[in-house]
Amino acid sequence: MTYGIPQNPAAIIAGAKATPALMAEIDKALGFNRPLIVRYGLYLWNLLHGSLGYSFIMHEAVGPMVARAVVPTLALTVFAVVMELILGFGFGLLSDWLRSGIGDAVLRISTVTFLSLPAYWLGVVCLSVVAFRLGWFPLGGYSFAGAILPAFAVALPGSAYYARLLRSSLQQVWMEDYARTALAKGVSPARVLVRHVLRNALLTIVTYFGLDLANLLSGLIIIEVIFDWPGLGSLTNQAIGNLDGSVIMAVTLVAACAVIMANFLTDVLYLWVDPRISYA
Amino acid sequence: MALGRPVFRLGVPALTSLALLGCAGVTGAKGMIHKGPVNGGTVTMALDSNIATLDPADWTDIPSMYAMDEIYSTLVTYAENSTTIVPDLATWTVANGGRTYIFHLNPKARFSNGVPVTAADVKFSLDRVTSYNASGQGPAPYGSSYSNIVGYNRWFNNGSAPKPGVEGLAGIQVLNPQTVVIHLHTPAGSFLNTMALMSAVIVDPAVVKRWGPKDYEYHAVGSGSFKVQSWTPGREMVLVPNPYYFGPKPHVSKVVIEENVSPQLQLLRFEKGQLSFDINIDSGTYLTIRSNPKLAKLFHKAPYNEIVFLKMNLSHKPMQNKLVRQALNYAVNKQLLVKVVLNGLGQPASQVLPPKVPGYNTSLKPYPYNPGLARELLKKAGYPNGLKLNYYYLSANPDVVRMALILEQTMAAAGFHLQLHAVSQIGTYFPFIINPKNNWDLAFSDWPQDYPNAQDFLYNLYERLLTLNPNARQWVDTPKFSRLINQADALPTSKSAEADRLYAEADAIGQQNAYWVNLYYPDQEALVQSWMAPNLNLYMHPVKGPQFQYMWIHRP
Repeated sequence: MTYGIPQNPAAIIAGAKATPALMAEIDKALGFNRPLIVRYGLYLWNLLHGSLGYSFIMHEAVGPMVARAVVPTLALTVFAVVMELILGFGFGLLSDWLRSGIGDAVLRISTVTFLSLPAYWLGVVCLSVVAFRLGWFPLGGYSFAGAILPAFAVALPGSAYYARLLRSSLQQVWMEDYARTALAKGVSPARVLVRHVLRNALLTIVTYFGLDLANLLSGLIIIEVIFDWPGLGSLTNQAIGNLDGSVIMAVTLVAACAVIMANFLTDVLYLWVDPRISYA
Repeated sequence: MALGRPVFRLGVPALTSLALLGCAGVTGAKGMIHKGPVNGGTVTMALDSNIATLDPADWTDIPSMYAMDEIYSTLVTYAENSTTIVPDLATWTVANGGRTYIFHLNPKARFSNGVPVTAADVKFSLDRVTSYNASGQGPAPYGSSYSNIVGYNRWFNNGSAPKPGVEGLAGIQVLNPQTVVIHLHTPAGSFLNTMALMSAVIVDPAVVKRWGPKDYEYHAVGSGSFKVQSWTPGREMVLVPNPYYFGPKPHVSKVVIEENVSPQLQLLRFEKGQLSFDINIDSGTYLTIRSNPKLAKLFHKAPYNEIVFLKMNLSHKPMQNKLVRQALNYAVNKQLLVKVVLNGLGQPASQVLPPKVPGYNTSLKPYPYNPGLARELLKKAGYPNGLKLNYYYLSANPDVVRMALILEQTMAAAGFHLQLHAVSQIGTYFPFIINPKNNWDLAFSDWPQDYPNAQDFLYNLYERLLTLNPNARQWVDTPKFSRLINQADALPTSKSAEADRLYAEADAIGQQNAYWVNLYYPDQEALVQSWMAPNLNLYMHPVKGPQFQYMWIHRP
């Protein structure tokens, strides 16, 4: 699709002052004047040999560029997911415990508010208030402390989904016969929750976790740009701005692999959560 | 403990000197006093894009220029505080009526790996950048800037890379290890300007050959005041002083250039003191600066040599009529554009040449906004009901989008009905508006200088206009215009006043014939910390990027 847009990478390589003659020479030298199907074939051939191509705009092989960007995105994803799960489980369990009380209502309204907050807006607020005015965290940049705010900006809306899913799942499982029997036999609610209810409520959480992980691993474009986080999102943003086809294709490939891996992880987690499930 | 006699004798003059130094301190920008150059410290700046390359054969962009200007040397360069060409690696003499330049290299010049810079390196560097496939990406974008060197066409079409046994550019001769002679086809007053471009930096042939075209830039070695300590492309480059540099040693001990930081984040970091200066100020961040007294005090602006204009498709019938072209010029409210689009950071344009470029014609005034006169001219041209025009612009820049909306409104009053067409991608936009067969009538364009010489504006812009649209020659006043600018460029630098007069006359022809609509000259801006060296040319040089070599840091 990128190469279907009427654009000439030679114009970007040669600069705004390039003459048509210069652009034509560059097209010829770099093979941009070859038919798209030929270029695609060459791309697949190179891919089979472990090469993601070369960015003539960034003047670098795409493989190392993507490899450099994957690590920060992975780090941010792990951080964000851990925060999401801690916050989501925290809100979800608390909401379940405070069931039908005022506290539960407050929590439910809060989670609706959180999941309505756009992550990019929250990111800008965190940056300008928490990092800039209060000075509690760095102003973006690639560091451990610098990861906290972008992770939080992603995690807060995301945790609301986990909280609400968990709450409704728990409510369903609490109504099951085994849970009610355990309570009737005098087992403490906490023990029933941990030993019986929680694990059975996790299946929907695991399903959502897979989708969430895939989304995060594909790169959070706006968050990474706001916080100057050098991950796949920032790389994608640059590549789209420059119509850098090789980088866009590489990032798309990585995103597709991330979705496959996340789905695989989800399937493995199902086995752990519910041993009755079998893929045989 | 009482001071002994010898200490007292030393101490009083020393104390007196210190006191005098303090009193004589440099008056900085906005009245801040600094105590003079101090050694040490780290200068940190940020860019809103990445440094694309350190290879002169691939260079086109400004961020790369910022780094390359510090790492490399050219034969000549610009003075610290002006656009005067001064020696860098070499002094020079001119012979043969301006057709021969003899460069004498500084014998102390060394690359940052300790290897001396020789005339053979100069020849290699220029042969490389003018060859057909210098860096594996086809011709170097600025290679044709040297097409006036004898033998250029033969060498370029040869398709070879520079190596032993291959002659390269016949017009570049190595007389001895410290002397290189360059022969030109015709005298050219702008030749030394082209030798100060980043495409003319001198590289170490051994390093180029060792790493090859694709990896060279990650191991770039130059003879500039700094060398690369580390570079994570797209993230950060760290420069440290070149221990073998032949010129004045830098005051600072490190320069950090952060890449791909948005202008908004740069402003926040500057306010926190994490950036030494900020030169990525857009119209949005300027409003924030203006409303913050602390930042406003640190804000500076200076004229910049750039012209923003509306290009006309001269192959379309209406544009071939001088009355229509003049009507277009009267239909644009330049004052309003400067006020609203630039927030006052610029001035309306009267001609193609910006005010600081030699040859700027001081007697020319901008076409005033006069919709009534524009309508009259359109009527005389045979368009009593006005004219519908397709206007194309780059939508990636919000200022350009705002400009389009203002033009649509203000030009309607003059009888021009613009159909706006936004294009988001540069790779689509430029090829589209270069081709006169496409369906555009007016297009947003800008032309920042490559060098402060009228040739860069009048010849490079004008020649482009004509070669792209050969039919334009029949109704654009070419012979006199071409004659004037060619005559001016052929004059030696000792006759610069006469050259300026010829350029001014050519510029007036362009303005009177209204080949395009000159809009404005944008300023360059900078926020500079109060503890940085006060010379504003270090951050806003009329030609060069930030001059880290001369910066220093004084923290009270």
